[in-house]
Amino acid sequence: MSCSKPQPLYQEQLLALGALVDISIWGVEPEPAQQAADAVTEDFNRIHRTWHAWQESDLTRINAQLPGGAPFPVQADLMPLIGRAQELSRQSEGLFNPAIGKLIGLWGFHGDEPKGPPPDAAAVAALVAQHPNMDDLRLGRSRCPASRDTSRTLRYRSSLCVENNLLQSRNPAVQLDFGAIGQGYAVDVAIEHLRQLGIENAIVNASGDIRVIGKHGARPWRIGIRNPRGPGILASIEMQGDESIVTSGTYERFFEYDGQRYHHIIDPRSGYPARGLVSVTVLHSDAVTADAASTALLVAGLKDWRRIASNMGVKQAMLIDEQGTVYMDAVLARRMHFEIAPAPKVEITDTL
Amino acid sequence: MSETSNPSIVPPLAKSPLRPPFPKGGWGGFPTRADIVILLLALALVPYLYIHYWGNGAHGEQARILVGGKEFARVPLYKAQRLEVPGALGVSVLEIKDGKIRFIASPCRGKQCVHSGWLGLSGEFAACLPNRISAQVVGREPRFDAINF
Repeated sequence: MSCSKPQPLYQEQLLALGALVDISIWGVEPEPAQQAADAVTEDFNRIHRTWHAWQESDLTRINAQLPGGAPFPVQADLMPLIGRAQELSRQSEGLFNPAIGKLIGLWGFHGDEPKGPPPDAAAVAALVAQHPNMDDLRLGRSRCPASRDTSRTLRYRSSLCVENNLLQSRNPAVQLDFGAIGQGYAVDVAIEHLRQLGIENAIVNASGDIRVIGKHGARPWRIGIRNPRGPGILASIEMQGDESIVTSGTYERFFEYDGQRYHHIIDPRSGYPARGLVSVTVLHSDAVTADAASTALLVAGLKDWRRIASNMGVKQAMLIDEQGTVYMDAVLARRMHFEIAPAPKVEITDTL
Repeated sequence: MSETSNPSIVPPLAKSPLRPPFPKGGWGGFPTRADIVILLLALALVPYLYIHYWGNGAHGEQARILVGGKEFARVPLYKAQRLEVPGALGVSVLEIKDGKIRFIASPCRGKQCVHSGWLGLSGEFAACLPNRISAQVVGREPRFDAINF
């Protein structure tokens, strides 16, 4: 019946990194689009094998050697993400902290089906007291200091030292878990790979961590933001050029025990799930920064989010608290279109 | 093709307000019963054509169900039915009704897919990742190209 031309949109879905990955490519013949999607699929599978926090991976082998305290060699291609995580952790004042793998594991989130019960309070407190952190790391520049500075003002000084592809932890509590940035990192790698293959218009979406390049033909890409407090779509936004949108939400992974809900975003300061916010959405040019910042801002809460966002170079963010009130900066507020009626209560803050 | 018209061939409507709309007998007794049937059929097509060409394409037409990243089924959303989809952990149950689809049971603990509720807009999806099953609404022109959450 229809005489319209077929849409030049190629779509591929796969499961990797515990995520549903959606690849959309616009304006390319099906055959090269499929080849590009296959290449990206392999990227995701490789990252899954490398960085998985609890299945046998390069990361679990690194984690097995960290408590020993001696320097050990690490594959050169693993260093950039470790270095980037150090930098992001420092900018976030330690609120994004991928060195708390032990805490994440203690809470039972190193498994496909977290089920509780919550860990013993003394065990949580003991791990928090050891301050495992990524801050102040040096990458191949100078020697690791001989002893750890334990003064309070320098609490977040390095407990981990990276040098010439050698990695060393001087804190036996450090265990790396890149769950908070793994998907964003994979999305960035995938987009870079697509560009190398000559793809100019695409979306890579790993379980909601999205980066877009170019446009959908004559119009921008249209992104829906799921309602964190109920079914359906909360809001939509148009994106084009090169931009990422990532949301961290307390509803993504959790377990319920004795009527209480415990989610997976652990505040490294308390050792307990962060409180106050339900979700944080961050827009940034690269997905790994947006990913780390969305976690950090959720931990920071309403009191400190603007300072942390500013530290991390984030200019656009939307926060939703437990009452459903939406907080966002003035720039994002102009772009965001609410899809639910009545629209939620919105508090617009100054430009970040 | 001159733009000046000859006033003599303009029908003198003002002078004959009761002029019959059709020539008397000249068109063979229009409208006949067949004409009315065709007219009604054409009118009946209008809503369909409107929806097809100008309508809200945001509403999905099919659901694409993936198991382990591979397409398991494509099902129309206009036909109410229940689907039992075998996954890695067990069977997920999906319901289709009134142009929408939802997970109503799944062996994953968090039940995120069930909590996602009804999906009807093109581009919407829900997934039970532990069971490696996802359902995505597809349509002619998606309302959203990707969903962030």
